[in-house]
Amino acid sequence: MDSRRDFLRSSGMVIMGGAAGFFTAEQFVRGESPFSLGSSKTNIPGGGAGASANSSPVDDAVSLEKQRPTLVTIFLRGGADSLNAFVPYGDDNYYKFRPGIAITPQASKGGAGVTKIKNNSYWGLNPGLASILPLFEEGVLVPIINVGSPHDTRSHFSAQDYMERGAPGNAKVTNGWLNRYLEASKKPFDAPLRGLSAQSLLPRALRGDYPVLAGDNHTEHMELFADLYAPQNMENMIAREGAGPTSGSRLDSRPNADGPNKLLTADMTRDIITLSGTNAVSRIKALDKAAATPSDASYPAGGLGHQLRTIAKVIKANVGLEVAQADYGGWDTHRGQGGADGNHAKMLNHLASNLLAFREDLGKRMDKVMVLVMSEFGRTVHENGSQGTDHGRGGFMIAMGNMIQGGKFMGIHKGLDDLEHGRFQPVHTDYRTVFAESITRLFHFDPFASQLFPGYKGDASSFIGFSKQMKEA
Amino acid sequence: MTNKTYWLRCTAFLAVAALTIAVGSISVRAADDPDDPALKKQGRKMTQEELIRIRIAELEGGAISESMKTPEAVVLSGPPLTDREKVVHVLNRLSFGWRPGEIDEVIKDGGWEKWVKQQLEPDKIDDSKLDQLLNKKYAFRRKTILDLSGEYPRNKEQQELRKEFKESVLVRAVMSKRQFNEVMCEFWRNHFCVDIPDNDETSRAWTVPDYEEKVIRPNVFGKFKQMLFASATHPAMLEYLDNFKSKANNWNENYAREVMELHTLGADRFYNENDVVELSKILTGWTFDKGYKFNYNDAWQQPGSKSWLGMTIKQGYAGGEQALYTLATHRGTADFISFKLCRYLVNDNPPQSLVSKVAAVFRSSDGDLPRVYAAIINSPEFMQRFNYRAKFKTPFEFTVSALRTTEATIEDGRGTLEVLNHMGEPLYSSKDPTGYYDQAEAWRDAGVLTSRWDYSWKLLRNAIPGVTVSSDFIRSYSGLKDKALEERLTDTLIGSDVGNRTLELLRKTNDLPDKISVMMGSPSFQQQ
Repeated sequence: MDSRRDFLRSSGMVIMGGAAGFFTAEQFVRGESPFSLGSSKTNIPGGGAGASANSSPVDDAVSLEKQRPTLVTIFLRGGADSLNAFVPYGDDNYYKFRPGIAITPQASKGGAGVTKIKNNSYWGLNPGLASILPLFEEGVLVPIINVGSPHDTRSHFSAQDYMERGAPGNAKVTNGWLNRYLEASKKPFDAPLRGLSAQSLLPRALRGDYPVLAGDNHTEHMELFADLYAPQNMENMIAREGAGPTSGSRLDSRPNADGPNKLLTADMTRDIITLSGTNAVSRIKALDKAAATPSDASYPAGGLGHQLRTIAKVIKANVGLEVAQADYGGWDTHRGQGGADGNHAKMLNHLASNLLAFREDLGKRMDKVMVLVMSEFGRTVHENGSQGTDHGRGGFMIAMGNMIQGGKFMGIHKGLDDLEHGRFQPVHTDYRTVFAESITRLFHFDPFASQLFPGYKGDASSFIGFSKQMKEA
Repeated sequence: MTNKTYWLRCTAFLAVAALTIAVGSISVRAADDPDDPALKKQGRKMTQEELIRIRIAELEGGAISESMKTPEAVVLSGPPLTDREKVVHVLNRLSFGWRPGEIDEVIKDGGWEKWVKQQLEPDKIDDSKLDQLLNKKYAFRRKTILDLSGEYPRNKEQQELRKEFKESVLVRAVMSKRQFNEVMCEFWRNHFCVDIPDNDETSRAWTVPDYEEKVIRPNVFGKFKQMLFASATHPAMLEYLDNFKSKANNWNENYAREVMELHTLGADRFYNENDVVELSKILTGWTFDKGYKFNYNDAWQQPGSKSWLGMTIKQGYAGGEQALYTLATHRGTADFISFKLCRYLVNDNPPQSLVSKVAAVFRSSDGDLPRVYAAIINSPEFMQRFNYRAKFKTPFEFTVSALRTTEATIEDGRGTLEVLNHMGEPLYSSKDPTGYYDQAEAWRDAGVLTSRWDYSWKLLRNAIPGVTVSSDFIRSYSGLKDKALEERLTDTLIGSDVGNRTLELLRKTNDLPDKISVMMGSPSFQQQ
């Protein structure tokens, strides 16, 4: 009991400190400066979605200047195979390991051949990725290979959890790394949509203490329930402890109640539920407003396109989105993975089309938007008995954006003689290195000083250099 | 993270200033007058309105979420549950919620203990009304997999079968008098998860109804090893986790890994990567024939004996049986299953002392599930106050309890199945073989409640296609006024107290269906 009381008392202090954080969604969307409290006449130019309703800010130089950098992660769930995406056709072992599903150097009766890269006789692309070759050549899209986790679990669920929490092998860390970034960099005046998922539930990377909206949620009856979940509801938290301005008119005082109702955990559960609803109300309103921004590209039909379209709209609405994650499932290709024209190739093609649409949609804004494609692990270098591959180790990532300095394959690859247990591509680049570099380059945020990745011993010297430094905002 | 230190420092610097700014700025906003001398209010006692505004400020600034972080050492104590609360608790956790009046009925009819005793022997509960309905309405239940494959050959017809089957699962959860049985069916169909995809491998439209009927339902009150073995040899599981194609020198690791990770031992416990490979080899040749019957194809068996979990397993079918038996009786399995059951029935973070006790019962009873359930329910931990209403309903639990509490009839489940889909918990469609999580953490993201609000609103207006709340149900509240109505609504829907904000809103809401919707969309109804 006492500790609960202490806890509330300290949270009371928190509340005072936090009171500085008064900045409503409406204010933000209206483009008011947080520092204009007391003189609401000062507006940030182009700083709100309100502006976009009248004139599209997409090509507006001022708006571009004011745009926050955004990191968009795309998680390929299931353990995406690396060798069938970025194909080491110059390595004989590749054909030895995959007699049934390897992609031939040239097109043949069996199907399309490897998509060749100029001046590279070792790596080629799956023909499903052919459409991103120009971006690769331009240097604004780069594959990172032999990347993965230092922890060797090959359980999807552990591996995804560890990766999205940025804490391989450490089950004590339960919040997502993107959420921790938002939490660690939060300011007294935060935009309601600094973080976003365009799905009906949040991916783990975005879960945690910092409120992030699972954006694919809506109700036609917001007004009725918004009241029910209004922030005023929080008075219960205090009222229960007798510290608040009113004593709760709770039903435990009614005549036939069976007894005292001094609950602990149930009350906390209720508060957590209330908080979930309360956090939603202002954010859904902000999202609805931002989502009125037109879409400037046509995305392939499907969940990934739907998510990326929404994320692009919010970026274009210029409401301060910093991190967003989209999910693309179905990469656990134990069976029927195929080579140049199997399921896996189709999915790569779908991914590539989505990346291109997203890039087209954002246009010049790609100067400040980095896309990071990732998966929880790669797959066995050998094919299995069902034209598929099993869970492996090192995999790939793809980074895209105008700040990317590519033009080559990044990460360390020592050929297919370099295997772990004779079956897996080894991990030569810790994914936290890539995460840390992306955050550092985009946001001028020091992930090491802030211990964004608990227990991680790396530092900036381990960066692989795939991204330029963004100008300080 | 040293949030506390951070906030303490923040407080020291900002307490006075922040409060001033906050109150000041709020006034500015409210009056929309930039020249309002807000700072003059400093020092005066704040009004109720100002306090509420500060609460808004806290929320926007993230201070509320800060304060909600789990404190490190919460002392969990409290007075014992009253008899009525015990009944509410039991109906919350061991059923999908009560029908109107059921709490009082259980109290009158011998209390929670008698109810539990009955529910632990589901075969003795008369459920003939539901059985008749199922037989009449769901003809697919009488047919074999082969029959179904003939009658629903293409995706177009399969779509109808998928809908019929999922609807039948929903109807049983809502209607059955064997509620604890239904609650445990939901647990086990998530534990031994298979899905029915809309595209690719659509043959599971034929095999999964049989899986529910032959693997899950008959074994929920049986022994764990029986369910494990039934799942391992069923075409739905053999296909879902790819073992049906696993053969010598070309084995597939998918099932071998998941049977240890998800079905028995738990992730990365007691086994290593080599054990995954060896178990894959042991289970080569476990497949099904054209009639969707389990078939051990000896020609596909990996030659030679296998070294697995420190044992030597001989080549052949018996080796696979031996491996499954080893897993079913492994102490790691007893721990893992007991932990999951306690998490499901007791608390998202079940006390280790309880898990250990339950695991001991699991081991000594050879995985006899009714005894394991009883060990949990009859433990002192189950009835402790800190577990009372401490769980957050999953989307499935929410919809089923909403339908039960309004005595809704389901002619067509489509509307509800779609809502479940949107809420991220479509029936038999988990993207991962983990099945759905039952912990609050997985379902409480900002935004998710809106679907529940929508469902609550539509349900009371009969705007969910195929679902009807009878006018009698609404009428049963008419004539009641003010306090009496509030109490009746609270008793019927919540069974316990509600927050005063909910009551305030209830008073402001005139329309009776709106009042019920508000109750159903309130935080309290999401608790169990």
